[in-house]
Amino acid sequence: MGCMPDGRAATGSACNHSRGVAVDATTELSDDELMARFAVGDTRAARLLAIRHTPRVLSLSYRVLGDYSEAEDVVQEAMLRLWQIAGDWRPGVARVSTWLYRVATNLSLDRLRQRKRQMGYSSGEDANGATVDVNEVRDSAAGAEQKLLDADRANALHGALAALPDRSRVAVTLRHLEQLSNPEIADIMGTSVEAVESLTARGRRILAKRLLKQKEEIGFV
Amino acid sequence: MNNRDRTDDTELALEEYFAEARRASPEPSDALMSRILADASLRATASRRGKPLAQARPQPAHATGLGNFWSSLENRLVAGVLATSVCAGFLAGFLNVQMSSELVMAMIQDADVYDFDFVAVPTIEDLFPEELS
Repeated sequence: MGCMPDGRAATGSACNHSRGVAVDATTELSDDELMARFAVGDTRAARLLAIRHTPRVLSLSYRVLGDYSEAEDVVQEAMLRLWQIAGDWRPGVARVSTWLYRVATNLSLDRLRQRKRQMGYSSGEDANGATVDVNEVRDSAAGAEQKLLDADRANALHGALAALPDRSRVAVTLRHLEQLSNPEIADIMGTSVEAVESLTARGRRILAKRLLKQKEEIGFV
Repeated sequence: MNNRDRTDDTELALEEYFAEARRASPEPSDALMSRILADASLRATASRRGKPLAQARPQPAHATGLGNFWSSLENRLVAGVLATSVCAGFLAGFLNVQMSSELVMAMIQDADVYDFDFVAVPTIEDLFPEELS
């Protein structure tokens, strides 16, 4: 385990990768160049790529899954796949960050589906193609409301995010937390820009409703 | 407060939540980074092993014009000896005895010495006719 969103170290291990990022910032090598170097066996290139991309991919996975340990597994799997395709990587065709986000998103959604199968939930598709799980929303809402009472603002948002349908959660996370553009998100999620706009708008409405309800109840903003 | 103001407040509050969440992003642990880099190291090692070795082939020391001639001559001699051995082995091993003897006879009939060697042996009567009679 590592560094939780609220700054706590989950297992007491040091969270000192910001120093690594500072080292990375001194290099001017592009991701494509680093991929080419790793493909011929340069593990220093792998280190730079890992330092550069792991934090954001972990952030996305954690917010989608809501579980740090599972998010770490997803990130490790995504990075492993990156190492595996390094030899076939074509510079300029795709961005490493977009590719990693796409893999991490798919792995995270797979895990969420697996969770639902194990818990026996039923799910359906809404008009936008997003997965809507009525039972999950209801149960998560109750859980989220409880969390909102004793959590700080970041954790409150995290709890509210958990109440969103899966694809809305991914879209909102990529748009408002990872601050990607709608075309990028569409590429990552394998959908249209219009669908992304719909998913984020819907997600924002649900989040606003939940967070403002909390504000009215406990005066916390 | 009208609906427009209320919407603006809601959007503003939501943006504050997002900003706070961005500041509180989780950081990867040392253990995770170690696992990722170990995977990379293993992968790099595997890809190096999977590649064919680009090792230069050594050239023969006598790869000159004269050296090539002697080399080819040696090869021809060796090939001739081998072919003769194979033929002899074939004759000895696969032809039947009759064929072998006929072949030998055919070979020795042409030599003069064989006329003398194979003349009929004289009998006792031929050698000592008086005594026997």
